[in-house]
Amino acid sequence: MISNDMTWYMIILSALLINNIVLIRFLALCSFFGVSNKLETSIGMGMAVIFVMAIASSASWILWTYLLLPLKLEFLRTATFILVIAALVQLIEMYLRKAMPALYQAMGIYLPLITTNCAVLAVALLIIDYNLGFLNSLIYTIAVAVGYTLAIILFAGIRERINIAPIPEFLKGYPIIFITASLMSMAFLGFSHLFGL
Amino acid sequence: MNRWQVFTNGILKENPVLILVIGLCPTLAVSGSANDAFGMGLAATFVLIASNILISAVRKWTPDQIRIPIFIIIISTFVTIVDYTMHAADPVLYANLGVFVPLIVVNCIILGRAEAFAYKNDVFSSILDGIGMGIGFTLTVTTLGAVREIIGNGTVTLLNYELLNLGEGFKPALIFILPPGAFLVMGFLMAFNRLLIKRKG
Amino acid sequence: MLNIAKDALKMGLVLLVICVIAAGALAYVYSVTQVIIDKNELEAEKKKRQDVLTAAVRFEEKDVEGKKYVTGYDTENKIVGSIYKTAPKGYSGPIKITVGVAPDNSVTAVVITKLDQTETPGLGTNVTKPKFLGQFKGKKGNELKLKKDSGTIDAITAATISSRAVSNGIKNGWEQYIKDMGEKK
Repeated sequence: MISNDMTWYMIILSALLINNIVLIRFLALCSFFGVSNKLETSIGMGMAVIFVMAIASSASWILWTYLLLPLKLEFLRTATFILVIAALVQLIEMYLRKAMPALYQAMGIYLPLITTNCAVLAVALLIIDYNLGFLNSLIYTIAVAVGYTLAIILFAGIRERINIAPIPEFLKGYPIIFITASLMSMAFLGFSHLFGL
Repeated sequence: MNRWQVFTNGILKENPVLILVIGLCPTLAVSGSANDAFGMGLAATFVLIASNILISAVRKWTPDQIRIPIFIIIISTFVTIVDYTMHAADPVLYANLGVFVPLIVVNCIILGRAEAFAYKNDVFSSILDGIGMGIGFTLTVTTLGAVREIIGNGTVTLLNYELLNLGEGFKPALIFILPPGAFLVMGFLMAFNRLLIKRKG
Repeated sequence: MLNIAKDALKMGLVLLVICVIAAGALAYVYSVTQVIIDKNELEAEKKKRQDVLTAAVRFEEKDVEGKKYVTGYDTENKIVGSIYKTAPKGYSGPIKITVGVAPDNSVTAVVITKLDQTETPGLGTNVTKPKFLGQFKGKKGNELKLKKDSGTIDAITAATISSRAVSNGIKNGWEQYIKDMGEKK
């Protein structure tokens, strides 16, 4: 639970560790399991998510506050946000390819995957539900995205070890990966109620 | 593929969660109790069938280049309808599922079936596909929810009725209804499903 | 060139038509369900009042120094008690508590519905159960605190934070109530 009366470092701590978006809130799991097989790809994906999430949240916050709310079109929230995110991802991809080829090389292939990354839409919806102001929204969004990056990088490190470990036949592949995620989630659960959050 | 195969495909051979490993977020997040899990299953199934029907019906008039935005608009419309209907019909369920109700819109299963099936097939097959995939999803989530609820809370509730209560003497293993339990049970469910398929040959 | 322009126009038209239909359908569903949602909330509120003051047949809202209190009357128009609301911070967000107080200032009943809290399922959510809330009946002042805090209330096993939030919330609300309402009786 995030609210406007929390200080910025409380928001960051809560979003990064205590309510980690992947391991505690169960968002962005598809990409968490899908691209975490190599450390390198995980870092690329993490960077792309931070980038897109920050822009998408700001855009949807502005749309919500200055367009949907004044016009009493609250019921178009989900539709508007998902379309904005899809369009934004396309635009960012086109822009990067033209203007920053180096950056595009590094994270371009992850961009289309982000449209269906539920964490992006979830954060856009949550900052509205929590009634956050613009600055707090931005802080929260970036902290959430960094939390995602942290989780996926840690997980990729463990997965590289799993690949060479002896594992019972029926647990190979996804089952053992889920059990590993469970242990990681347990570790993150240890942060709960830190500083009364 | 005949009609029967289209229908059963989603339940077993291409079970969206256990085999294709998509739609994970809602599956894990709302499976703290069988009741919430079943509610999510029903909601997603409704959206799946409705969007399959509509997308299949308008597929001849859909320009190829803008089919994805059209799918997204159709799906998000049905999701918002479900969102408000659930809020009106069962406020407790709605509060439990929280942000995962609007998030049905990014459930990969729905957009995936629109693109891979409904856009290429007639309305009747698309309905069957939607029902099959919906049952596959609902069955998996509800099983996950029931297992977690029995071990973690000693009860099973479905449609707001308590079906089973192990009573005061049962000491529940709370970790199963907390986040780590979701990953754990999911891992074993997948392993179990794999053993089952192997035994069948 | 003309073909591209024609295609773009056609696509724009198709998108526009779909958007208009979608927005229309949503506006309709919204207008229908919003009425039911508001009605549900109002009824849930009424039920909570009735649950904490079972003998009351008529309720009257009162503003005392900016705080809202509700007074309940029975069939003979005698005061059977008052209701105050409090929302202390629990384990994962505020817990909204409705408390009824008898004319002798003891607590008649406490209600927390499932919708009033966002505590951990299976742990903190047990504060909504009658087994816990029933303990507050007939008590006042420091008795409303947990045994661990030298009161009389048994905390829920493994959910001390939620239990303490509720009992302290009730006690602080009660003291405020006595301050605001006590002398005016």
